[in-house]
Amino acid sequence: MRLQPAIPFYVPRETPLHHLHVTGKLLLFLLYAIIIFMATTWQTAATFLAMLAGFTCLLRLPLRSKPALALAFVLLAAAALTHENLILGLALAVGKILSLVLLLGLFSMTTRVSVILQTLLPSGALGAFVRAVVYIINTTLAVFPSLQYDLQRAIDAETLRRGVKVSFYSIGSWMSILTVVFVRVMLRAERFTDTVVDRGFIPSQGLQPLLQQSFGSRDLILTAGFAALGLLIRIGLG
Amino acid sequence: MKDREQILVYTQIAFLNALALSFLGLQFILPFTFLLLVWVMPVIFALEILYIPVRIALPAGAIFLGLAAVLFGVDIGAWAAAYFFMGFTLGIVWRKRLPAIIRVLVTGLAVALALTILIAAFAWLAHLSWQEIADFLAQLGMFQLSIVRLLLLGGTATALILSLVVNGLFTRILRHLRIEGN
Repeated sequence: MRLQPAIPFYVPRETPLHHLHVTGKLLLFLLYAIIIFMATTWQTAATFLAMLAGFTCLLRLPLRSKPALALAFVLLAAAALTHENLILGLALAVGKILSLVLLLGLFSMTTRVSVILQTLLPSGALGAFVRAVVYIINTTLAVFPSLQYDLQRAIDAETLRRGVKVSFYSIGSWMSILTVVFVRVMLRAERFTDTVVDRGFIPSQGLQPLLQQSFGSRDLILTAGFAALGLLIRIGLG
Repeated sequence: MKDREQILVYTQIAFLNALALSFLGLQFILPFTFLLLVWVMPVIFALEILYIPVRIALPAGAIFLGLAAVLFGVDIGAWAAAYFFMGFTLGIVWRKRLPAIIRVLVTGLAVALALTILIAAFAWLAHLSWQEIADFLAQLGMFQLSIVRLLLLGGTATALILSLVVNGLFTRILRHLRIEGN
């Protein structure tokens, strides 16, 4: 079975939502999250659910939780037909939760994590510290699998050198294997640094290439339009 | 610090932390590998302390311990903290260029302290009271052994042997790194 991350990753596409400035997207995300959270009628939940699912499909982004979505629409239809209090409450709760899930998915699939970090990170000394921490964690997790491979290669080399399988209790063998691994790791870190420096990255500007985008009139119009749409639904449907 | 040096420091931290995480992953899957890691892991942190300024190495250690606790849980996180303490001591005594015998003794003391704290932490996590431990020791006393003396002797010998092995491996790695021009 293939494991899926809880929050979907960025999906590169050329859509207006992808091009919208991250500040606008963050504001819209917060506004919609508050509106959905405070929705009191099943109609509002149904409208947001349909709208967000529609947007996801319109932007040709993968629509997840399809069985849950189908169940939510069945519940909402039942609420519309029966007006039973229990079903109304259940439909509202499921509709709100799934709307929030779709909203989060839409945001994460159209916004790069590095861009969010760049926008949210503080400047000055604290910013430099946070950037260093982000770089260390990113690099640690990125090189983690290759080091396991290094260790396996060093064990194989020692096996070939000795002509027999390395015993777990042989301290001499482990000394040789680990010396090779440690020295290789230190040397590789140096080569990796040279590559990073050669490519022109400097710590004061962060160690990630980022696009510098300003919040223009197009972003303002799009953000205001989407915000107005969300507020109209909330005011109109409750 | 120049840009290249700064990036090198961050990258060395990342590579050494990744290596330490690989080993902890091994311990997470096969717990008995602590027999190997107890003398390997301190070397990783000692290298960090020796090659990287302490003011950067300490927050880097905190990042590593956080990652270890998140990825592998509290018990492996506690092991990681003990390894870090041993490695930190080893790195400091090497930084101070103390004589070999002092290095072995100080590292041995750190190993003994780290393992004692680790055992106490696990006893606390397992909700073992001092009374239960005393009862267990009293049962062992039936075999006509002076338990306290035996534990002290065994603990000291273990700490000293571990310290010797850790220092041996560290010396060997530094010699190889010097040959490679680091």
